[in-house]
Amino acid sequence: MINLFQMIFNTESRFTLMESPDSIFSGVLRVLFILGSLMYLIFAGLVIRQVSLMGETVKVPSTGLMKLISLVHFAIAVVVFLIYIMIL
Amino acid sequence: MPEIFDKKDHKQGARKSREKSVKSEPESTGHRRNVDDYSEVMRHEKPHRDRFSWYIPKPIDLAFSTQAEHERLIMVLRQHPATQIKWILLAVALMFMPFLFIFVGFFDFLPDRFYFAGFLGWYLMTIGYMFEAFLKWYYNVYIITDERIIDIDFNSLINRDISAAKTENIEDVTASSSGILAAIFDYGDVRIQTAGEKPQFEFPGIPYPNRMAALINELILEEEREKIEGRVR
Repeated sequence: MINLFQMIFNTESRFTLMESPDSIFSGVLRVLFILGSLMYLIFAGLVIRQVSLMGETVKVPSTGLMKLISLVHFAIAVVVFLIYIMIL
Repeated sequence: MPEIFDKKDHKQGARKSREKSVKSEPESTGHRRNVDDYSEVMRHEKPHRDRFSWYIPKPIDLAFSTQAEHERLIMVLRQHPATQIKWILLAVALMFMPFLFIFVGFFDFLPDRFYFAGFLGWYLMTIGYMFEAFLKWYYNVYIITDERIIDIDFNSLINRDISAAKTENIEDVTASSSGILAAIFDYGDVRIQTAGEKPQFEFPGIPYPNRMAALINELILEEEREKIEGRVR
């Protein structure tokens, strides 16, 4: 029933055989996207740590700005991860 | 009989005051001369603030973690922006790549939601790549102080490498420049041979390599002068 609803809901979009909920390819792609975004989330977290480490080593006035950018980058990564879970 | 003058006490007092003055001399006079006094290269340079610059003589608002209390920064260098052209061009290409895929219809077999997800992920990764490359450029600095040279490298996400060599250990300095861009923008490599633990330092793609080599040579001469004066004292 839910699958049928999804198919009806997606009538505006391009319809291919891949849209079928039973499609292995679709499932694999979904898992890959979510796993990839999860790995990217870890990378974004490491970037925050890296900026902090860099700021401790070389004390430059722009370190605050760099930390802010790294935090925004992490926040975007979280949003993308959530979007992937919701739409895929 | 009241003692007006005691020769013994006077001698001891004089000796103490002389010792005190000798001990306090390095602190009061600063021991080391100002860089402007001995460096022809630095004499004409004004103090600079770090505003994402790659050539910062006499930096005002910069410091580093292993800096000694009395160590003064003379020059801070980053690689010339012309050396970063590869990743900048790659980032621009990555930005336009999805539009190319749409035009060619490469992923037309994918449903819209995967298309959208791919777009999002692609641009997120491109931004991440650009930020990472910029951080690498911004924090990989080459520092020249009045006591040593320091090379700070961040090779990967969490790896850092700080190498330093005292000026007195520097044996040879070579400046080289090759390529059209290097000739136009005046940047190149400076190689420094040392007698320390790390035998060779390389400052690749830094601005004004000849000027930097001259500055390091002036610092070596100053170090030798200090040594000689130290022996005389």
